[in-house]
Amino acid sequence: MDEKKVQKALSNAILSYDSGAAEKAAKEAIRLGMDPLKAIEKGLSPAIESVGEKFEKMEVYLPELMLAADAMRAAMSLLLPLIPKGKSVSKGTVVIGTVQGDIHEIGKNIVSNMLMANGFNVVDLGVDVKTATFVDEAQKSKADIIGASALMSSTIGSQKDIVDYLGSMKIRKNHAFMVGGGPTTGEWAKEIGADGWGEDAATTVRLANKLAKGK
Amino acid sequence: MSSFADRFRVREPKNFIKESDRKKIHDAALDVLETTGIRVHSSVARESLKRAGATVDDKTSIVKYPADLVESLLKKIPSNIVLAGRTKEHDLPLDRRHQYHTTDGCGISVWNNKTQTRHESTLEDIRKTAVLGDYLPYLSIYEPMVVANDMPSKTHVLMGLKTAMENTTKHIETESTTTPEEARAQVEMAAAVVGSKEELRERHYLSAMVCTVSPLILDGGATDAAMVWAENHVPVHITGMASMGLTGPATVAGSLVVNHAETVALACAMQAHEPGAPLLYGSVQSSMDPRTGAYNSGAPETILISIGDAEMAKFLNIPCSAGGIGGSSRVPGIRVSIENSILCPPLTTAGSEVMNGIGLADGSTLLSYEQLMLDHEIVGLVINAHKEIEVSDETIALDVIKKVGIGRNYLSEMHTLKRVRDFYLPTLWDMSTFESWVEGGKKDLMDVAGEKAHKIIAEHKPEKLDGDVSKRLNMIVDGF
Repeated sequence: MDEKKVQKALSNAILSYDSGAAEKAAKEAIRLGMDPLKAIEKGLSPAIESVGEKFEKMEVYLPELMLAADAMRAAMSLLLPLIPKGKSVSKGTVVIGTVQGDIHEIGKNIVSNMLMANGFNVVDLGVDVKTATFVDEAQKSKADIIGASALMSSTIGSQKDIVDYLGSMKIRKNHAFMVGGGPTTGEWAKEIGADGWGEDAATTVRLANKLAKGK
Repeated sequence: MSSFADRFRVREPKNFIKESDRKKIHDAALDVLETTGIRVHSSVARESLKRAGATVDDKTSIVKYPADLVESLLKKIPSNIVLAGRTKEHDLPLDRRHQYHTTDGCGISVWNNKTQTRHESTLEDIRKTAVLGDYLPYLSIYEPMVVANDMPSKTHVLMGLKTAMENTTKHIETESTTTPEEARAQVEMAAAVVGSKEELRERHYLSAMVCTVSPLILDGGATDAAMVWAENHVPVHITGMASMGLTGPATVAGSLVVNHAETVALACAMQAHEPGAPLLYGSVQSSMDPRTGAYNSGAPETILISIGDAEMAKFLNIPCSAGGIGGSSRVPGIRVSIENSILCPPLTTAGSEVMNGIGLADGSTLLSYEQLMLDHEIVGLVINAHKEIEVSDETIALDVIKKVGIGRNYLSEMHTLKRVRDFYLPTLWDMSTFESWVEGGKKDLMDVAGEKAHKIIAEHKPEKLDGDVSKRLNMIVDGF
């Protein structure tokens, strides 16, 4: 297989939502000694973007998006370690988690997956994450963005706590802050002083792109 | 004189899933419970289940339920219970022959129909909706409808409950309880109203909604609270919410299995902890929006799966509060009313005994006083369309038919005078003419509903709580 064919195989694997094929194509790229950056940029990225576009046009549904993201990650996990230091392809780092007192993680995991598939370095803190932990981890990983999810109306108050905590530490400007989850709204995000509201996975990726560029 | 509960008496439910298929779903759930297990974050529940004979891994919090243990614990659930009102008049027997309607809880904002905007909900919204709920004839149960955002987060649930207790004599369902301490305080409050904790075990004045976390998880705080509810015989609406395609398989039967496993898991934990603790099969399942994964309460698949939940409750022969109205439209009005009008009737036919959802739009997050009135009208229409068709000498009225004979009318018959009183009259509209609508200012139904709601709130005076009881409630809330 030559490089062109491998690029095509990588792309096809994403477009057919096939993690096994993505892994196989990534291994083939490595065997050929192909530049891993080129494999990502020419093979994988255009394909995941095209799935994203189809999703926006409502031509495909959420399961296609998730399976394409899984395939993307399968290939990326083999290619990323081979990229020389300093030649990062990451669009930025997002520290993400479900707020304190809340163990709902499915929405957060979907967003986390989508951000990874779209080229973000994601630090997923899991569920029931304390306010201080969000901030400590964001500082530790020099995160561009903090993302906080909450599903219950009784726990969304913790999203405001994070903004207040960042403010009290005088580091509010160091990290963009986005919120999401069932009971959240654009008005809520604005009211608590967040930088944006992720209504669903696709809009959250768009929002993260914007916030990462804005920094 | 017929009782308040008689108003909600409906025809015998119809079956939509045959017994052998219900058993298939039940057996698949038993398989899941025995082999995959359930992650139970509550150590109290795990301990009770371990003592009863379940296999508990405290490291992973996973509990595996042997099938014979499940079957023996399920037998301990009371089949028939009565949800009590503050006054006996409002007692509601759950006996497979009534359908009651409750407001929903946990809204976070309120619709302003004039400005077409929404604002944050407050304790005053709980007071106002409780007064309204106390008045409305087809509202059987009141549930504090919104989060009191103006109250401290520590006491907002208790403040909401106190306000509800003060403003309606109907049965109260509480939601949003996330700690055992909060549950204990609410038990104290309900005990203060009915007289004592012993009395509360008999008179179920308060019931509590407890959600599972799909797939296959029981939350820590809420499940700890469920154990407190069980100890005090406060009926628990076990509310699984597995969403087809997201937190359950993308098929009705598959998602029923996941939900049944979760429901049975919590029911068994309660029975292991307190044999005979009252509970309801209270699922509010839905399908996801395939494009966003969002909760899609107005979808036809949501009706199908909710019917399935009612079927599984009937299989266990336990009280059922499956399904709810509460459309997914982001704003109140025509779409929510359409969604609710098609959501409600199949569940009435299938035999769901308590349905929640009145008055909240946007997936149960947005309170609209107008929608509350519209939804109330919808359930009034539905309940009355599901009355049993009584066939007796009195209703056949052969003697009256013969008396009236050919070509005359029945208007001046005593039989008519008596029976016409049973006809349902809508509360929001009548059959008046086009001209009178024009003269009345060409009002939109949302405006009519809003005006009527605010008039009731201003004029209706609910029966007050005894002064000493009010003081006791204040002490409990202040001491929390």
